[in-house]
Amino acid sequence: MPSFFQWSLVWDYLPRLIAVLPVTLAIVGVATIVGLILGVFIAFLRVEKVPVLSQIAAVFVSFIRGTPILVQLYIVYYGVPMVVQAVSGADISSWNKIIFLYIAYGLNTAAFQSETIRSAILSIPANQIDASIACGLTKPQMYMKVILPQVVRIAMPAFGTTTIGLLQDTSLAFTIGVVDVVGKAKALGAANFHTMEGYVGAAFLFIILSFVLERVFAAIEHRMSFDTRMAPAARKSFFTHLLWFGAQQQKA
Amino acid sequence: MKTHKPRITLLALAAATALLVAGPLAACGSSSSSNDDGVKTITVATGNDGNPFCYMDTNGKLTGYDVAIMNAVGDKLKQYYKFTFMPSDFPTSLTNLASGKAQIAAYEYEVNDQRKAKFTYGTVGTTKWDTLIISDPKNGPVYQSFDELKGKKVYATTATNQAAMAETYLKSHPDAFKLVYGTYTNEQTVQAIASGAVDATLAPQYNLDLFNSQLKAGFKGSDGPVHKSAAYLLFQKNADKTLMDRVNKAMQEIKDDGTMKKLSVQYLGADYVPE
Amino acid sequence: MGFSVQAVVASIAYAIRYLGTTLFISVFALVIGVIIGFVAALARFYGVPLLSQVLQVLITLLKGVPIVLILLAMYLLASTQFDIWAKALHISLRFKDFNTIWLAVIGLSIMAFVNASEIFRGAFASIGVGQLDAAKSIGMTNWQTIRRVLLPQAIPVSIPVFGNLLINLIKASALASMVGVVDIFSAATISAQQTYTFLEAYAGVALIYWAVVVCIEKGSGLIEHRMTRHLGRAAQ
Repeated sequence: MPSFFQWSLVWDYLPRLIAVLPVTLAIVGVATIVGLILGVFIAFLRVEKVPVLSQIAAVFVSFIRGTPILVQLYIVYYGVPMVVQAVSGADISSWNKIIFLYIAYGLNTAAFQSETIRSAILSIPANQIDASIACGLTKPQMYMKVILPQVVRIAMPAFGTTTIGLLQDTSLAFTIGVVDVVGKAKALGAANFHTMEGYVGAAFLFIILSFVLERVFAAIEHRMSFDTRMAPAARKSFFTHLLWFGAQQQKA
Repeated sequence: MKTHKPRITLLALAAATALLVAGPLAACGSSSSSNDDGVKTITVATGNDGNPFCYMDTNGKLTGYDVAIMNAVGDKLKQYYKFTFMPSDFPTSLTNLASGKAQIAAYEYEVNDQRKAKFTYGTVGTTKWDTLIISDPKNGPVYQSFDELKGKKVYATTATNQAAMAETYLKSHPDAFKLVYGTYTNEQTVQAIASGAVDATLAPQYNLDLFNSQLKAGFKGSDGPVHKSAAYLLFQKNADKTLMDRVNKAMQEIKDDGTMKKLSVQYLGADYVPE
Repeated sequence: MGFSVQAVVASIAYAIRYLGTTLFISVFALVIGVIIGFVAALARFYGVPLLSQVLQVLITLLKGVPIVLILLAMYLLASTQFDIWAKALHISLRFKDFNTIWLAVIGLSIMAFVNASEIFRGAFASIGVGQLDAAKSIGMTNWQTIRRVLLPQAIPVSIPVFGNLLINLIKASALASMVGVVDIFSAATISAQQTYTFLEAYAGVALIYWAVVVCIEKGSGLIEHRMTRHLGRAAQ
């Protein structure tokens, strides 16, 4: 019986996996930033039911959510150069493949983040909105001071999971020939006929990374969860809550 | 109105996906470029985890039999062309070719009529794909023919030559054997056979040698092949005729002068060049 | 190049027969994941000693492990160890007769569990400790608090996110081919292997996924609407 797993190979593989870690991190980083900005925007369009745009946003989100990312990657990888060529005449098909990955994963993350953010906004009871209006807050003030702080807190765990999940989801990069961590694990497995060790090495890196990311997200979460740290008396009514928040803002 | 909505949504979905996927590809062309000294850059689509044909070695360098052959062809044609490789998985290599991102594809493509309608094949075969029935003598007899496999479970990896061949056979012999599909790694395939989860798999000789040498499987193959075939290069349907002729001619040359045989021995362990 | 609509239709016709497999794996995994995930989140919310720390470490570890590794390891372990254990436990089932679809279900359940526990944790966090104190002060037992305070608030908040999770599971179930299960994705690939029309097969299977996902979206939207009605009503 051959041994399917040798620790020595894991140590052998690790440096090679670390060498391509920047590729994975770049995809995750760009996708998260693009996804967050676009995701907030899409969520806003949909919650506020902006005509036409909210319908377009809904179809976009539905498409991204509903189809395998492989298909989305194909559309971006083969489709974007065609569209750009048709519009501007520039040939971008020879661009670095990673740019197409940024676009594909950015759009994909945006759709999923927008749903998380949207559901967080909708989970805020309607009476808070009435209260904000009663307090004379303008809409931007309401979003910035009432809704956003709560949204961040509610959405943060899901956001953390999505970001950490993205670490592994970048593996499709290898399909079009960009070598990320999972792709490298796969390539090493194909070269040596030892697949497990590559994935175990990748898991090692991901566990460390997700631990670090988790700490970061937990710290943000902790900062955001001001009301759960308040004395119970301060939660007496929503208005005292608002007043307290306002006072905090002035102090800052 | 409300009852009609889902149907309209579905129709819209269908139309949108078809457009999104097909749209970009309808307008594809060749994207080869030439520089000042008249040497054209030709992109060759190939695989990235297809050991021993086209894969990345532990240092990330693209290597394998198909890559070596294309490099040998590139050497012959260096006054006209410079070959660069575009590695991807198997299905994507075909889309890279079809969409014009690549002008040639080299990843062990077998011939059949349906595929001929879609692509132009090279004229010189690179690899014999004579398929054997591979089984573990510890678990039962060494199967020699499809007849002996009646009622047995046979593993095939989706999208491979063997899977396509087995499906063709099953079409004319509906209850010959039960095909188990998967995307197993080599270790899993060996385990599936050794544990008796499947009774056999279909693979060429080089694959059997690899199971036995790399994974110490102790498997046996049928004495003769159950299917004879060969793999070729692929060009686009409306490919540049000069390019095709030059590549085909260079292929014939490296076959005649024994280069191909040498590479086959080096990468595949024996001479698998078709006659 | 020619994009063959015919090939798209053929791949849909072939792949749709395996929709049951895809749904079976993902729904089963969701149910298992949600149940274990809820218990885990609860344990962490109440800070059950030892258990909550163990869960935290476990979830952090599992978040980092690629599902591909879980499936591969499970297959290799099962194929070497299953019969030994089955014999020791006097179970007559052997690996060769074992349906590997269960490996896929277990693999995806792990993914669902990690996600579900985080979703519930987020939902509980949105409730606030003050309410727990309030529940305690009016003499509610822990179980009553969970049933009457935590669940009614946590579930509506979580429904759309669970929709997301189910959708992710459905798409992740395409990995089931790693343990020898044919789902709609590998069925589509199979339908294209004779003709090399993989692009068309992907487009076809994308349509099936999309249609299924739209149904889930509508369904979860309906449930969400019913469950959040009281939040809106409270404002009136």
